[in-house]
Amino acid sequence: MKNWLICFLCVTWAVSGVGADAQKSPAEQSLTEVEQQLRETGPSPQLYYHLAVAEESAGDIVDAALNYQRAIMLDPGMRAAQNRFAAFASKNNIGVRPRSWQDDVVSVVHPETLLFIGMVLGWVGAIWLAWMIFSAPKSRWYVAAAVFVLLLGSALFSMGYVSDPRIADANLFIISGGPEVKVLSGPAENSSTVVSLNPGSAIGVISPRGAWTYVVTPGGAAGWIPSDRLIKVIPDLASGAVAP
Amino acid sequence: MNDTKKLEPRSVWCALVTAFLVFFACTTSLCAAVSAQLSRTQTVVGVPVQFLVEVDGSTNVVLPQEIAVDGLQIQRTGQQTRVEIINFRMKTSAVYSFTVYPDREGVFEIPSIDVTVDGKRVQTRPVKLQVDAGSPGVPVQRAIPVQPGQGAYPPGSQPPPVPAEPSEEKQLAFAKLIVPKTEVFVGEMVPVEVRFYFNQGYQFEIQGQRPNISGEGFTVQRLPDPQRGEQRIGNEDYHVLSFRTAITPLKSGQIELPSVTLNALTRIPMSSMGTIDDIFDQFFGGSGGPGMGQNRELAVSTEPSQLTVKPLPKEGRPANFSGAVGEFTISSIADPVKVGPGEPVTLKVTVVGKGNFDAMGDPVLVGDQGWSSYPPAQNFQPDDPVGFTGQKNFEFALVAREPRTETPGAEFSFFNPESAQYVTISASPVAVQAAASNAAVASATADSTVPDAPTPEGSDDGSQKTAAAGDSVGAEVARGFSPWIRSGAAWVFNGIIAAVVFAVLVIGWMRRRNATDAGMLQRRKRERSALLAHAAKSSDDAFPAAVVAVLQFDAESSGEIGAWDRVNALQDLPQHADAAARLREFLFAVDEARFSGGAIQTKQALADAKAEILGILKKVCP
Repeated sequence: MKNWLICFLCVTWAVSGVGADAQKSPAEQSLTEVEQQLRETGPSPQLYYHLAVAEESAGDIVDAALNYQRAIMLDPGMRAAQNRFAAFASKNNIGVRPRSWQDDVVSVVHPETLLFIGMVLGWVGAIWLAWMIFSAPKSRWYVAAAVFVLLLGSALFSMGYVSDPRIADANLFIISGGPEVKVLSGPAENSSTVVSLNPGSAIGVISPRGAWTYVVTPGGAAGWIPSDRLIKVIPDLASGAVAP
Repeated sequence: MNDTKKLEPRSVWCALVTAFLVFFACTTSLCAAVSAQLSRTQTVVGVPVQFLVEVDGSTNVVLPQEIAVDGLQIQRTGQQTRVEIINFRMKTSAVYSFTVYPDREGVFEIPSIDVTVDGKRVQTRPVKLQVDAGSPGVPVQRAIPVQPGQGAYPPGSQPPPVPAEPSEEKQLAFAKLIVPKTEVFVGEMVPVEVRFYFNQGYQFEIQGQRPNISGEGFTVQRLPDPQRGEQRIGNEDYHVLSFRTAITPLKSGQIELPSVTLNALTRIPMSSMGTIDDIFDQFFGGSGGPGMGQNRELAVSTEPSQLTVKPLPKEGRPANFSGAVGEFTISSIADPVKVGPGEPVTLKVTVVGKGNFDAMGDPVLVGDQGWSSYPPAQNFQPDDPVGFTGQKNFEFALVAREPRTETPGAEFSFFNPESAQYVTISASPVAVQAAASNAAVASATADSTVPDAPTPEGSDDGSQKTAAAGDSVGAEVARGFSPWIRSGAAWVFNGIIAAVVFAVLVIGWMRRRNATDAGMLQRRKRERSALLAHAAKSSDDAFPAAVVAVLQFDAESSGEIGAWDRVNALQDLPQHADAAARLREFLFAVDEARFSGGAIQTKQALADAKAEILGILKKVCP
């Protein structure tokens, strides 16, 4: 009797554990391995893109939308991710953040490049100008050049700062899975509906207030939605949540 | 004397406007063309034909209501007007139709008729009509007009035959289910058409939106909006509603296409109601209108039909056959064609043709060694409302694990029902430049449908593969969600630079301050030298005042108040104690000479001490 029980337990373990891995589809295997790589290596636009593609293939719309956004946030110039996400959003009727001039800027040059170049130029201009103030004799053209370099560096730095989606979209969330979410005119269930959003749609958080959050929709309408339906695009790295 | 007159601008404008008006009138009315023709030049007794008068260029037309021809009854029955603007030129045309009923056989000539177009009389040409005796053999048919892009049948496919059944001439309404073939294969998409004919002599109101086509053993595509047309069958004209869709058999054997029904409400005129009951019903307020006719509900149905479904042959079935039945072609493009390590290439494989796109599987990548790929994203772009023809795009995301110069090729297999054979088509690889990336993740091409799909490097040992990939990813492309500018390194770097700027400012300020002190000292030295030179050159009377001025200058430079304070200060300095004593004596002598009335001895003593005092003043420079 005891031997039969041991055999039964072994078979059960094999079927539930080893068997489950063996029965995973290729897409599920890809998902698992990419998630593992993300946890081990940290955020990477390529890995998030791979993850989103695999999730899209697996039909996981919300996670695919989330990871497309993350890939684009980390590398705004990743054209493949942008094109694929646009087609994906259109196909699944997902609301996306409207395109702005910052997107045009960062699609040409990465915001960190702008930040670095702007910072270096700004400091060079500042040091040069400081030196010129106390140096003698003063050349008007040298002073003008120093001021120009300082202003140019400051402008590039500012542009890179406000264009970096990790800064500009720090309050970007998406709607979690489940039924469509109604954006209400007030933080109460009986408030009137402003607009309805599908899961996976991007949404900007203006002010979280406990169980309700005041948000702005991709179309520009503002309203309240339940806080538990929001997933932040920037993961909480402190908790190790690099992947959903 | 010059006779030529210069044209005034006003005259030029008038000429231009007049020319435009003439041109406009010509294009709109004066150039109106009138033509007349018969829909057929030959008919039989009792079968009407259409006499059409077409007027181009105007809609202001007056036509006779009847045309008198012995043996023919010609009555005006309708009018169609059309206005077009092409290249800023307006074109109007109108077609006036007359129905010609032949009463007897013979050759008749419809004479020229007077058409008044915009007040001008125009005559048409006479036309001849041959009327034969006997029963109408072949019914007159007019094809249902099909709008471009709306046809359910692609170029090359055979349209279903047009029905022609004189036995149905007198029917109020009837329906036909038109299937182009009766023997099909499992999975083959078959275009079908359901036509509903409604006699134009009656009024009909369609009940409901569209008929329901359903049955067992086959699926039906979405039913698009119907096409409307007209058709003459025998002596009757019919309005035709045509619903076009496609069915796909799911199993082999005989399947029955059940009847398709469309409900309509019609109005039967009084003359058609012959029974006593109907008359009483009408009289006592039955369903009919007051003295006009009776409303009647009709269920217009097709006859059920059979379809023989053959199974797909097992012989010659390719390993990658995924269920596509039809006729297809394949092509592929890649974008971008030059990528760095880890960057994906999108291989877009397009399958174009006709068939069951819904059941179509993915194309298979071949020669994909060194690439990682995922199950493709799909989208279908139909060329017709039914989805029988179109193109399906498969977008594969590819990441090179090794340096590659071309993408994988793509193969696609389908069953061609026309030739009853399996066909495998392939798209050639696309030239690209892809750098290798060890970060390529596990390939989904490990799908069992790909026999030779390579596994990722080191896939036998998952931990090794992940570690290698992770190193590469971290080194090459990893970017955190926290911008570098907010990191501690950025704060340190900027702090150092800010300190450098601050140091530059401080150093500059100090240098300027030092430069300022030295300059003042030099200037004071020059001024003191000038005072001493002035004292040396001064007369004996002026010499004491010049000495006091030098001491006063020294006192101001040293922060003291007057000459006596300067002397007292020198008194405190051991090295200048003797000089201070001598200067004190000199100042006493100056005061004595000033206050004692200027004793001659004192003045002489001061003059004698001039050289000595000048020497002392040069020594005690502060």
